[in-house]
Amino acid sequence: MSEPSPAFQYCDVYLAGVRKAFGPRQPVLVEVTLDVLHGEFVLLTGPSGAGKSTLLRLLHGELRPDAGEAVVLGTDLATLRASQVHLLRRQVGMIFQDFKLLPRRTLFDNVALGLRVLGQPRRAIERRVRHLLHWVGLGRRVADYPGSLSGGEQQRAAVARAVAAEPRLLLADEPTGNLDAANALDILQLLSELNLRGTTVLLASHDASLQQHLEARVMTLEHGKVLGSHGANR
Amino acid sequence: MGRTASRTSSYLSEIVANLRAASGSSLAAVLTIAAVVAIFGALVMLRATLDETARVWERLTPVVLFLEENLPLPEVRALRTRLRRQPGVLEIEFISKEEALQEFQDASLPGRAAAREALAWLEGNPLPASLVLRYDQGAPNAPAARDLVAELATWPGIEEVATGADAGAPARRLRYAFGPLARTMGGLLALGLLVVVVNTVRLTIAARGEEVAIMRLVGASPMFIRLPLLCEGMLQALAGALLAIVFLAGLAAAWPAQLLPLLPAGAAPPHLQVLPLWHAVGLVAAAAALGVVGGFVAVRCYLKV
Ligand SMILES: Nc1ncnc2c1ncn2[C@@H]1O[C@H](COP(=O)(O)OP(=O)(O)OP(=O)(O)O)[C@@H](O)[C@H]1O
Ligand SMILES: [Mg+2]
Repeated sequence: MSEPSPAFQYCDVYLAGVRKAFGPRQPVLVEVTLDVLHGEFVLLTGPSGAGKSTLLRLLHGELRPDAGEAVVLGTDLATLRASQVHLLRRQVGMIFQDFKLLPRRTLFDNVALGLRVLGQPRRAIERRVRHLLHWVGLGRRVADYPGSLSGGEQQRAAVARAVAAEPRLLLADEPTGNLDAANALDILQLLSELNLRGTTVLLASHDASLQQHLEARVMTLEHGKVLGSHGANR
Repeated sequence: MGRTASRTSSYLSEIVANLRAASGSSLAAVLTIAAVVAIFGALVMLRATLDETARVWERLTPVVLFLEENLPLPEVRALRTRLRRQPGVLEIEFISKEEALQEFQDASLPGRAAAREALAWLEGNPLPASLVLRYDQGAPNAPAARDLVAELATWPGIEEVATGADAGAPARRLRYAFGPLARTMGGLLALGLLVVVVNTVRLTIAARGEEVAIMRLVGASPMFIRLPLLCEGMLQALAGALLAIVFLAGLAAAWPAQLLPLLPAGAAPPHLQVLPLWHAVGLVAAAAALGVVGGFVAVRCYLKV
């Protein structure tokens, strides 16, 4: 493994020529090159099936690149061992497109999960989870099960869980996917708030119009490549 | 310290979640393991009982006092009473000429057939009546009893003194024959226990697969997922083994009262041995170790983390 070049110091995400294919099919990611600086808010758009989720899962350590260079928070994904993935994930929060809430656990337990796996003290977890659920507007639903929540409420719970352990980088996969305009704005508001407090955010959505509500750099993924990069470059 | 405590508590709540996820199969596993361990423990007890029986019977080796021909019954009775009062004598039994003949004809040892035929040629019954005396060679007053046996040949009415055959032999023979059987059974039972644990842990993994995958996604270490599953296997085996020990202890306590009447009348009672404490502890520890191994195998084969 070669020493990361000094440029990585300022990049939370650094991808160069990344390729990813599922089996013998046409690769989903052909040659992706992008970087996300520390503290940035990046909106990654592209049509459905362009490979946005694939890219995010790759950054989260679920998938491995077939070729190219991929570094997240100083960790080289090409050489990351399966037994070490959890160390990366403790610094990278992810809002999944399908939420991935545990159906048989209460909202409280769902949000607490990311803190419990860290072995945090019970008291601290209790305080943090209540604060987070209040923050996403679910303060009265702590004891409810995900099945009894609306789509938007589940999405907000997923946001609360993703940020519970105060990750340095937040990956948000269609966090406004099945929400009405007002609810979507709420979520974007929450994410902007986090970003202002120092969390790097990479938001993937097929809906390019989200950029109207965000102060974000926009990248477009199409035909397996990142086409453009424009917008707020703070 | 606080960190270790909170980490331990989150591991514990994972164990509880595991047990809850497959509580039905866990209970079934505990009961099956209890049955397996109980069978094994019963084998151990049986072996210890055979050992002890052989030892006691060995100690009670009889001394046969052949009586003079036609000794009148009142004199036999007097002799018997006198003998019973001697120090060290545990038991004294009268065997008449007829009983001796009967016993001789019943016994079907090799070589006896010819003797029986020879006997048939003789007129009447040549076998003498006898008194059988038993004393405990392990008892403190055994020397006195031995001295007595040495001088008995000079007593009036007694024709000859013979030290009987090794009475412990049958029990010992049984015990040696039993050894390979016990080892084979032990191996099979251990294998059965392992299979039970592997299967229940596998069911838990299946029941919690999705949950476990999500926990991995939010940063759970492989150990955080695996350790509770290993503990589950161990806890099941431990609970099953303890249950079995309780059952065996109950059996041993109830044995003399409940089971003795079931033995054929006249059979010498075996000397039942309760599972010795260190055997019980060893059995529980071995079961727990097998539980860990079973959990390990299941995690190795069926858990993808
Ligand atoms: N595990 C997989 N096995 C095989 N093909 C896959 C797998 N995951 C994704 N794909 C394929 O990769 C392509 C990109 O999928 P991906 O989910 O990344 O798209 P997306 O940009 O997130 O789309 P959407 O906006 O609908 O969420 C799709 O054609 C999909 O069928
Ligand atoms: Mg997607």
